[in-house]
Amino acid sequence: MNPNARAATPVLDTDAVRHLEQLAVLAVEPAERAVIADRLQAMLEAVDALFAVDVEGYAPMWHPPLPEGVALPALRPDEPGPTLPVAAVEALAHDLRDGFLAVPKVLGP
Amino acid sequence: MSAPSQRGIAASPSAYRWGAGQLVAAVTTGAPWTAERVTRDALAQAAALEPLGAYVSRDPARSLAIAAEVDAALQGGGPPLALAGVPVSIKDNIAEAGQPLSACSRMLAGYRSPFDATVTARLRDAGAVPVGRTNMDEFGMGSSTETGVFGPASNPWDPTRVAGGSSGGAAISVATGSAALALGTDTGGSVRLPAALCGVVGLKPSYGRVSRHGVVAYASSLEQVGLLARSVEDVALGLSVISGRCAMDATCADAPPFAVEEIAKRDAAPLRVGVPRQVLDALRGFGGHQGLTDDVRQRFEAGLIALQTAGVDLCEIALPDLEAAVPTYYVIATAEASTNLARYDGLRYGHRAARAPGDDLHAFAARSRSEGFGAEVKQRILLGNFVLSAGQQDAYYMRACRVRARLHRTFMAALAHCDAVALPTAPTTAWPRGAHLDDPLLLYAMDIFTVLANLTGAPALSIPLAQAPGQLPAGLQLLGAPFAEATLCALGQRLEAQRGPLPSPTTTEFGAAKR
Amino acid sequence: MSTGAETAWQVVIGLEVHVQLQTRSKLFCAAPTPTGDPALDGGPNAQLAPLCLGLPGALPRLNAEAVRLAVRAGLALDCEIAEVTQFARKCYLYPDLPKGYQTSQAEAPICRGGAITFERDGQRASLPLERIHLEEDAGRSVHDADPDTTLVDLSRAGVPLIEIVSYPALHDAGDAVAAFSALRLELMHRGICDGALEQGSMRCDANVSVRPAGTTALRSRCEIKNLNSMRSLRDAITAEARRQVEVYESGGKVAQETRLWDAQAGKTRPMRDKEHAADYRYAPDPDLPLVRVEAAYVAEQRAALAESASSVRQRFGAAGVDPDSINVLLEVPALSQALLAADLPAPLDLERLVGFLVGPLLGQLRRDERDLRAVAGMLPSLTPIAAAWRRGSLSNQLLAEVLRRGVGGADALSGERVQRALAEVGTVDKDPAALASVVGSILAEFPTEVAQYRAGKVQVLGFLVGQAMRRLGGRADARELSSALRQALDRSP
Repeated sequence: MNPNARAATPVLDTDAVRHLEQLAVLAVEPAERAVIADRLQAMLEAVDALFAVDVEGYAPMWHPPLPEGVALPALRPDEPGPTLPVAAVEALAHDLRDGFLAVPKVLGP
Repeated sequence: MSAPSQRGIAASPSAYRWGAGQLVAAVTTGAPWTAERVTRDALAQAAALEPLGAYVSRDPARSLAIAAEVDAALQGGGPPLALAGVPVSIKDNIAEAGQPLSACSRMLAGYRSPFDATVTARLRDAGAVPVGRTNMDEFGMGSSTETGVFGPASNPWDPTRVAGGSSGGAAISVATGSAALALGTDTGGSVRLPAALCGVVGLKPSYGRVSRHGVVAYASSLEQVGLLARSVEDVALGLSVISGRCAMDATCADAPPFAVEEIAKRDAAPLRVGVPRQVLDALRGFGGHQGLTDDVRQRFEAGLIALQTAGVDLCEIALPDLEAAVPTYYVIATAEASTNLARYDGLRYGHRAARAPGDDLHAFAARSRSEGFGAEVKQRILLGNFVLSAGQQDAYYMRACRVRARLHRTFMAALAHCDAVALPTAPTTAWPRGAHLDDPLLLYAMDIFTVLANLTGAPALSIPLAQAPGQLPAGLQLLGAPFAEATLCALGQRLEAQRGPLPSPTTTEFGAAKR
Repeated sequence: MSTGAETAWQVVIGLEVHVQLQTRSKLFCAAPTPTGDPALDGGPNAQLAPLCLGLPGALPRLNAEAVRLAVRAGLALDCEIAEVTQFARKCYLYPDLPKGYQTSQAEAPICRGGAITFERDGQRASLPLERIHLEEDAGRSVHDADPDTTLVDLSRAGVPLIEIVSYPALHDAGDAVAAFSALRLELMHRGICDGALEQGSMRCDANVSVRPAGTTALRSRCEIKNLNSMRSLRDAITAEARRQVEVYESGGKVAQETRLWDAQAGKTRPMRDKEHAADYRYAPDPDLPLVRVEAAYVAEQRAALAESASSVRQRFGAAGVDPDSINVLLEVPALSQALLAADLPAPLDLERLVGFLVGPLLGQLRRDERDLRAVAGMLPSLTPIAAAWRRGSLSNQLLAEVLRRGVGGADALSGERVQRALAEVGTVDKDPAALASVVGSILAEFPTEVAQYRAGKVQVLGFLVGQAMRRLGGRADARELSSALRQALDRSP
């Protein structure tokens, strides 16, 4: 794919927001949805500047590279370490039953 | 040791404007100064300035107990402690074992971390005394410290204005002396922007310099724990304590801690600073919003002259594509945030909604999240999901990552001609509270000069510029090559020396502060 | 669609196998991997690190051993090992997914290509692989404890897995079983997985589609999840293929979906469609740097790779061990390796040692419902017992007693315990005078039986040997005793 290829700015209407809510596990008040759609649309138009930059020949950069002579740490040796005391888990959890975390039932398996 | 001259609100002699080095010397020497006494002063200052909204939780009894431990260790003839008795504030997104950790979100209200962040553990080991947890924008998503669940913070120079963000509470704590050193986090400018707006020094270290273990993640590939203090010397001292290899963070470099001695070595060599004048002249703001104000531009130019007077060479450099930095930042930051914040679903811990009849798991989690997150966080999560979604990921997220690679290359090319790049920290001084809240794009535009360091992993230091009576603080920012913090500190100290002491916000103004 | 002429259908099968790697700690944190034994694991959620719960501030740190095992799996299956591999976040909501995403691999898996080789009816065949990637396991959800509530145990969350993904290249359920079985033995022998299907150490998903014989285009496929036994794998594929054929033949269309195998009903049924899960938003994990797998490291792993299952089978076969015993031994790789490597005193050869282990010892362990793998650690102490048995210093009776005391019951197994039992029970008395005296007294005591023998009813010899053995407290070699008795009986009275 040509990295500089560019389709028109997508239109983010309330249906698109509803789809994003599904992905994001959010439930927006229906009345807010239009406002959010407008704001997201404004953001998309504002980030159009991305498409003015020629990125041919640039691989995506996931992390800032370290300078020469500075290394990332070695992988973790396979040694079991300390775990959280059960009391700490109890203090955090909403609902523990016989050690299990209780959550509302998922429909179906 | 003699008491310092009396200033500020405390009736008795107080150390609340002392630098960290001065405090360590006094506390290590012992009576009349002890960690406990310094801590009492700091706590009194914090209590007196409560209306500014710097802190969201404090536990004075715990602070004093820690101070007493430090005194006992020193009296017991223990080894010298690099931050003995130094009052430090901790941003509310950095974990301290047993303490609240909410990132100023309703989602985590009441949550206490069962473990320490690497940085807070190191501060404690060095004898620092935590005085409280500081206010911020929810999950670090903001530039004004107005969106947190505990309410907004106010600028100590003018309480009707914002402190900047997202580490606004951290900046207030050092500006007003309740802490000599503050831990913040900087994802897109969140340490440097409030530092500039409150008139203190702010350092965002190089990516990989400081462990992120125990830091509530917003955008993992962009953020670092940063430091705020009233002098370059103090942020450098703080960096020497918190930096270095950490077994708990795979992105933290396998490198020794920052060595303060490096600064003098760098200072001995000729130093050159590059200024991207063309960019500054032509700059339009993000989303069509305002660029650089004349006031900030003039003070920035005066700062450059001060550097020159201090023997620093200036040169013109090109920094193309800077206008693409904010869009790139917002695409990458929201993408990473959307997955980093996916764990907050109210199922295991965190805010949980009341269960409604007929709720399936998705509906229940969606309600918990919608109640737990504020509007700005929800907006960014939605945008992040959009840029990662099927059909959009290549166009937005992947493209932003490619632009990031290009910005990195052009930035490194600029550094081939100079030791550091100078930019204003923020395009304006502090703006009125509430002014931009209904226009996120205007707030995003404030990050125009700061996000480049996050995208490239470069270290960046914001130093307060000279401030005439009636003026609000403004900052000059220096960006260096990765792991060249020493160079930035050497330059920053030269600028401080030329500029001279800064005024302090006065207590009468604090008294007038209203939340 | 015409229903007239009978169409011949071809089934097309691909496998996706999740394999739990044998590491001590989890893929991205130092929490111990659960053993599956509640007593050791301390019950649900008892040994969690912050990352297992997805707590704020917890970061992943990749386990070097998991990478090593994944590379070894790739080498064992003849894959190409990636020079650079990358982790990605796969986002979906589920109660046992504590971070809201699974850390997996997408664009840059650790291995590509390769094949599973297997035998079917004496014919060698192979199933080509698309990729192997590393990922973390989810926790465990219990749905049936309460009508309203799901109970979650995160002990398994974060356990390292490799997912081995084949191309859809099989056309017979029996081949799928043979391939899965061969894969299991191979991974067990290479030290990558313990192969315990009943504990979920390997979980097989089968992609099944059908097409008219002679055509090449692939039709909609269904993925059948969690086929954890050879039998369910075979039956589920067979039933699903039949279902799809019926759908097509009645003019319908097969929907691409995920299905579950209902062994009781003997058919697959659709899993409730996760409407939200269609878009996983895979993206590189910003908490995990790229992993470079150096060529020198790969070479090192290749050199250190344990022997393959097929080579072990061949070597036992060459030593004369019978195929049934080999099948038992292959289930216990550490034992088979120890046997193959054992420096055995002549004339105790491999075949005879195997005879000892597969028979009486494994018999005893099975009676006690012990894990056969426990034998491996005791092998150094067992070798002298086996040698004693083969030399004739232990009668079957004594051996049974040694085993009862040394490895029987529920007590912990140890070499020391075995040695103690051996010492307590003692060995066969080799004194010929003692033997002769017992033979003499038996002949005197059982005149009727002696007469019967001498009249040609030779079967009574067994009875007389038994009586003599009892008299000797089992401390005689049965063959020696039998021949001494026979000699005495054959002598004229």
